[in-house]
Amino acid sequence: MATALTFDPVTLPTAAEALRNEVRQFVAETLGNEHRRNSDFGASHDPEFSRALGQRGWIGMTWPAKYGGGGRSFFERYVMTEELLAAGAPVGAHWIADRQSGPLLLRYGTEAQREFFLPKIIAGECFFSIGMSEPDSGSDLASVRTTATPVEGGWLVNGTKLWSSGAHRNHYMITLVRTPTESESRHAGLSQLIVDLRNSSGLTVRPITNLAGDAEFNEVVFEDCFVPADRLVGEPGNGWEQVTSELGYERSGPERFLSAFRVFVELLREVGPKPTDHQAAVLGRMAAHMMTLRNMSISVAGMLESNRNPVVEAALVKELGNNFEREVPEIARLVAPGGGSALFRQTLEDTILHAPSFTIRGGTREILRGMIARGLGLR
Amino acid sequence: MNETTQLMLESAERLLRDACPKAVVDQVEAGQRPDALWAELEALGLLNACVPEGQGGVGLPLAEGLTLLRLAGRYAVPVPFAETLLGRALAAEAGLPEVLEGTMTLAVPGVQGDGYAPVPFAPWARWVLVAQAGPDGTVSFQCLPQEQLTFSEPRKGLAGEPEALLLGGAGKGPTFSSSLAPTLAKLQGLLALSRAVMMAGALESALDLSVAYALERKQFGREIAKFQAVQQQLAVLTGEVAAALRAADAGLEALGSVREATAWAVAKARAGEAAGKGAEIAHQVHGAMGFTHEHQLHHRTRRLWCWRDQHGHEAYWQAVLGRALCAAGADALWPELTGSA
Ligand SMILES: Cc1cc2nc3c(=O)[nH]c(=O)nc-3n(C[C@H](O)[C@H](O)[C@H](O)COP(=O)(O)OP(=O)(O)OC[C@H]3O[C@@H](n4cnc5c(N)ncnc54)[C@H](O)[C@@H]3O)c2cc1C
Repeated sequence: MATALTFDPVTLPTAAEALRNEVRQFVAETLGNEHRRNSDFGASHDPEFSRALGQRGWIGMTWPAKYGGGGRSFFERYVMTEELLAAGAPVGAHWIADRQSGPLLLRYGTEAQREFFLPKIIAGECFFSIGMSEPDSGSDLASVRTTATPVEGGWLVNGTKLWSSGAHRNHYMITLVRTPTESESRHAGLSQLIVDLRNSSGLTVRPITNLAGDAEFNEVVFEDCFVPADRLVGEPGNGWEQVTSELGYERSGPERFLSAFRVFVELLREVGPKPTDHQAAVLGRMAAHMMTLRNMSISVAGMLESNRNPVVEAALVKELGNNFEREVPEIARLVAPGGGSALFRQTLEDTILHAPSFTIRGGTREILRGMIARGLGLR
Repeated sequence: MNETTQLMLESAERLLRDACPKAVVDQVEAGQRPDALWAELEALGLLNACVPEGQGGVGLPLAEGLTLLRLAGRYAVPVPFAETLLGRALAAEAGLPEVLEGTMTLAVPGVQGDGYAPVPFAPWARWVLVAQAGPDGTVSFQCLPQEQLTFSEPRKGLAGEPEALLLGGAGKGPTFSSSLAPTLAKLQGLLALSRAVMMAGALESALDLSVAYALERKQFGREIAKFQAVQQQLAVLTGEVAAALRAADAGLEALGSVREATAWAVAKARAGEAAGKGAEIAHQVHGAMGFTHEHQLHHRTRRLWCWRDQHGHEAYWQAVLGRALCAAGADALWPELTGSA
């Protein structure tokens, strides 16, 4: 039987549930109770909010205490993140650092790197970008061409990264580069470098405006950009293993099905207490999908907590979750009564404009389905 | 899951692999009672899973016993498995030893308030557990020999199994109530859950059959599994199966908690949706072969089409959920979804 189907039951521990109320209170105090728009982890940059979260100890929650981390469970992090996303909190600034750059450094970084970066991330004062995609390398990530050539004291980087979210605002970017190798394999000779986005010469960051009119992602051009030797993450040539290890974290979290959540909330407000049968069924269907997805996502958090590497399960959560969040605005526009509030229209239109990216960022729908098919033994 | 349940599931799976092959399912659909299969199910004690040990049962709690229904779905077991399993658990509470033997079915008012739902396997049942709703929503039961009741002419439902409408009949027997299903809503919820678990099992089997077929069938000189279009469809099917399994399991886990009614509505709605989408993909992958009577895929897919409509289809349970959310209001949505109101 297909093993990828085993999403074991998980009951969130009491510590995690206790945290839920703390986070709700924090959000109410920090952001007020006015209605908010979607919390898009790729768009909502608010360093002040990130710092406030850091002060509460809610960044790097699962990391060891010796770097200032909270030493708490994945379940507590899960609850904290889902509460923030559902409330529409602006989590974009620290999101990548907390979700994947920090864990990557914990796993593969040098002790000096951990001591240098992790406390800053935890304080909500150090933000990271992901530098994987390039003009000619999207889904086929192993084809990247940006090179790092060894020189005295470090590396000279040349090439172009594309779609690097937040690179115009963040401090560092973990950049996937080709380093010299004897091997013919496409997966050999890939390495990850921590590039200082604010203090490097030979580096140009150009924001790219998206269809919604926002500049969130960037083109990052490297022209003999010097990166010190101590900014290499892990072993040279181990980059492929390292980037794939990030994916379990990257793909299964609540941000993969909550990107359109505020539309759901505002739709409910529009429909009011007396829905038609059709409206009730449509809203109930969304609820059934969301509760099941959340259940699956928590199950994956349980796998991460017990040090498993649930690559296929994470791909399943992302595939189902992204399809769901793309459906939400499509449903909302058809069942909302006419003459909606300004907030409803704004939230809906905002989501329609961002929806195409949901099934592309972090691995396209087709690539995820390919991974699931591999899990089934079809390829 | 406790150890007894685990062992029971393992031996049930071994038994069903041998005792419930395609030929047996075909026979039932041709109108023949599967007496040998029934005898084996009885011998293993599966149907008494939720009858207390003191009354000759296995004594599993309902949430554990109902996991057996996943196997009933996976093997298309053509007997009133859910009805007998649940019915005996209810009847055992009233201490009726004689009804704990022989096939049992349930006559239950339909969820949409339109009289009794068609009674599965009515013509073959020895006992019919008739549920009667009181004006206050509570439910009482009578367990009657089938011949004391009048039924319509039997017909075959989508699953190819016989069913009939309860027309009436003055049965003599004690009336009792059950702590497992004190209200009609709870009884209907349990039955909806049973169908969700059965659908999850049938979906698992449809996926396994589809993957095996894709790896075996060759066209254009290679296995069709090598075509990306086929891979992508099977990945979508996998997502639906995984969601149905998780939703059904969550329904079982919630049994006895304050969240049970919500979890059962979610389970039936989500698994029902997966049933339709899943059956469609499984058939597409199987080509014409899957459209034949000879292939066993239809034993799963016809049950999926049948079960998704029994005890409330998707739209019914979705609307139940939706109305509750509307009543709670927009600002309560997130607490409602997470059970942290
Ligand atoms: C909002 C947003 C933010 C992003 N942020 C970042 C970031 O911070 N850092 C970063 O590195 N990248 C980022 N990306 C890039 C993202 O990772 C890529 O867009 C993604 O991997 C797909 O690559 P592509 O856009 O080049 O599409 P392509 O790979 O060119 O794909 C185009 C289409 O072809 C399909 N396709 C490609 N290969 C196959 C195949 N083998 N089989 C079937 N179909 C295939 C794809 O599924 C897609 O439908 C971001 C993208 C978006 C939209």
